[in-house]
Amino acid sequence: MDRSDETYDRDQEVRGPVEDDAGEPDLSGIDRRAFFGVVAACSLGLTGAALATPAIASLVPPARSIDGKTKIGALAIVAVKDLPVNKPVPFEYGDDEVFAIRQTGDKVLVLSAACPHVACKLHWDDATKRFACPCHASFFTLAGVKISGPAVRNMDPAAFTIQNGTIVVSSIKTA
Amino acid sequence: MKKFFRSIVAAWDERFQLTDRLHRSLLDKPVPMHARRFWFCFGGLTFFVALVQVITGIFLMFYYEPTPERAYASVWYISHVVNYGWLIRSVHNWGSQLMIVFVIIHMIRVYVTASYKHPREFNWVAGVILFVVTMAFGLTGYLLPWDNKAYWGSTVATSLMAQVPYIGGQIQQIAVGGSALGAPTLTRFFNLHIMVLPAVLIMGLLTHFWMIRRQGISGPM
Repeated sequence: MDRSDETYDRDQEVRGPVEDDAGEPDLSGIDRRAFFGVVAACSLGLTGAALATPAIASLVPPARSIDGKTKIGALAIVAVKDLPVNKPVPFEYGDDEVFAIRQTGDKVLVLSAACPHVACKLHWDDATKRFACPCHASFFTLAGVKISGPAVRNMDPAAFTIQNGTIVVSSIKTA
Repeated sequence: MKKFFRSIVAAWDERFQLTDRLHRSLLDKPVPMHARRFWFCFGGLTFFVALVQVITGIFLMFYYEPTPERAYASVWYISHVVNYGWLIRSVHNWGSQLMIVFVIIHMIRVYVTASYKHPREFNWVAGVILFVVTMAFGLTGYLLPWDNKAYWGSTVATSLMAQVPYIGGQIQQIAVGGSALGAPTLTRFFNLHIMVLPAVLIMGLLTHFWMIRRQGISGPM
């Protein structure tokens, strides 16, 4: 086929030979050009929406600050008198989880549930009376002091106050 | 709906003849048959990736902090905490690599089809400048995450600058902003990456495109 510039006719190529349309049923009154216009507009619109979604979503400030702190501020989690003695209870704090602990003599403690090793979620093993990490078997006492395992420090404490007998957590730092 | 948009376009056209001008100056330029080939697409592809880099770069700048204390933390933050930050940063990273690949393929195509010859020598020169700008984008962007790879990679790159005869030492000092890589280097590279190089890139591209429109695509082989 000769594809040199001399025989090139743009309109011919865009519309196609006229005979092509002869004898075909008129589907809905839109010609081929209009149909492809609609198809192009729809796919452009879909593509644009698909690209705009992550772009706009990225501008929404994340719940966690650059220091790793959850930026929800003070959150009342539980009344001290509702806590069982010497048995940690997990509570959600934003994206994080904390253990509220009421020790003998009403000494209150709030610890991050993220293991200080690689931040797996700790759980309280009531049989052995210690916090256990499901990932790499780090263990901690009720007060969050490291017993054994690959963790290099004690459990991270959360900052809290007690207002009218209720524990109010104000910040927690997790890596 | 369609009527509504038509009326807006008509209002602008009546005053500025936008559609007609756009059509005459940009759109009504059929690509010659001999240039409708896969290998002729890479100039346009490079430009497309450059646009992607500009857009993703703007979104990265919403969170990136160009200081030695915060650079790595902010990049980590983008990749792990910011919504879709991982996607935007990955696209920017892969785009930077693709842009260099595309620009090299584009250069090889222009060389093989002898498109750089008279009367298009100046456009080849403009293209080489754009190639250097692209490489400079890669070099300066490489330092910005401020991790060990970035630090030592840039140390090697700036040490190479010192190998230039006679003025190498000065070139290195100006690039680094001191005797060793540090906070001044990060500031400099960031400024180059987001202000200086984009300005040069835009001017270079305008020249590049203006020349190709004036002279047209080179003839068939």
